[in-house]
Amino acid sequence: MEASSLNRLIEELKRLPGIGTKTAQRLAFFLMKVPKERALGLARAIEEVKEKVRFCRRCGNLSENDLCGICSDSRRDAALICVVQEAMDVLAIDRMGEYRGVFHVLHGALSPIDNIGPDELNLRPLMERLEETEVREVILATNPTIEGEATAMYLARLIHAKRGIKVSRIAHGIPMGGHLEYADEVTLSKALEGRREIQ
Amino acid sequence: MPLYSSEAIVLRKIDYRDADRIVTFLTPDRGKLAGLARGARRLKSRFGPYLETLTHGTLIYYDREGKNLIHVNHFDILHSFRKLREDLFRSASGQYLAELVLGLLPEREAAPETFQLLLQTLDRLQKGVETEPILRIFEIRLLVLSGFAPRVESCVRCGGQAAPFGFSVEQGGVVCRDCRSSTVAGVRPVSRGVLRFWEQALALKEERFDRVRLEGKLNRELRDLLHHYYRHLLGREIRSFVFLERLRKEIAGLTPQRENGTQ
Ligand SMILES: [Zn+2]
Ligand SMILES: [Zn+2]
Repeated sequence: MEASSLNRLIEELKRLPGIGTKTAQRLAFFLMKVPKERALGLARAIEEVKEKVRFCRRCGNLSENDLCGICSDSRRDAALICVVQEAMDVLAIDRMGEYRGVFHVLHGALSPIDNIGPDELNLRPLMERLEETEVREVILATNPTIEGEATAMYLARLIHAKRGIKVSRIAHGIPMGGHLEYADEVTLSKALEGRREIQ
Repeated sequence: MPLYSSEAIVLRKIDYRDADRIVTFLTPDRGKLAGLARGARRLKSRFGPYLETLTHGTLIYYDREGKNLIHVNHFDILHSFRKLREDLFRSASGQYLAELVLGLLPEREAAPETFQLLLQTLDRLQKGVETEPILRIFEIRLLVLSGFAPRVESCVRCGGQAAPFGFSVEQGGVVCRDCRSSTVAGVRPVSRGVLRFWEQALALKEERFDRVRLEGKLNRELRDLLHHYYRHLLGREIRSFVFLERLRKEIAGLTPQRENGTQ
């Protein structure tokens, strides 16, 4: 049997995070067997995401429009900004349904050895936001890793130097070395609640 | 599959696949070792939260023949150097030390003295008042331990002592007054103070560490020289050094109180 197209699908699936050869084969066979419409639905969804989703102009979150759903929601408290490393973290915090402020996504954390310095992060737009809009508090919710901590300390210095905005750091309900996206809702909610101000 | 146990310091971690990490350790008996830590990024990982850069612990691992990566089985923490993590400059300084060790050491070659040097220096970094002398002493001692020390006692070309000396990265040491003129480009001036501190850094006894002073101008000269030399050895820029420089310029001026190690 000539099945090079099936092999190609398996190869493509293997490139996805967390998918090994076995899983890729199982998924490929599954897709081959389901009705054509369902399989093509998946293909179209991928195509649509790639064509439509980009980064929000203001906060760096994933968005289909110029501004993301959170930034364009007028019921949100725009004077409270929660700074996170990845767009995944926005999802994790918003899922709790308790946080009513807005976000800023850095797309990473300071890691000089990996060539990620301040210029490689989505930092300048944040500083511009602080200049242009009335901001009361910035919550630094970067991961409790050495890189996340360094990023928080660095940001705290920059923001303090600018003007009197309250800067706080999420509490360590999340253990050192952990990643926000893996935290459960209770842990996250406690971490936000117990945030402390950085002087 | 044989199981090993060793003291280790985490030098670097790289995210790998969905929830795994590739971690590079420094161990006394087998030097630099890279290993796969499965599931290390999960919140409830069996490694706990401690498989983090610059933590000191006991590493349990499998090492299969012919494999480049060890398989990390367990890592129990001994020191997390928490104070070091909680200060921007000290944290960045610690990462700089790790970058030098990573760049200079070969894999799987015993390095008990380098291990002790790094461990003691991380401890000094979190306790010490001044961080700059601690960094300079580390840089000098690491060169000696790794076999890359430049010759500083006498001229690399004639063995002479005629001052003033110059320093040549390409020739690997100091060049005397007489040989300087015949040595082509790349010789930079080096003061007596630098050479004196160099000697002192190698001879220094443990209990005297806290009393080492390094005046600002001399520190800058030494820092530039060592940076130049390390960059030559590694054949590339030392990224954490550049970051530290940036912090000095950008951040130190922002706060009223003087930051440690920013002279
Ligand atoms: Zn937005
Ligand atoms: Zn000479």
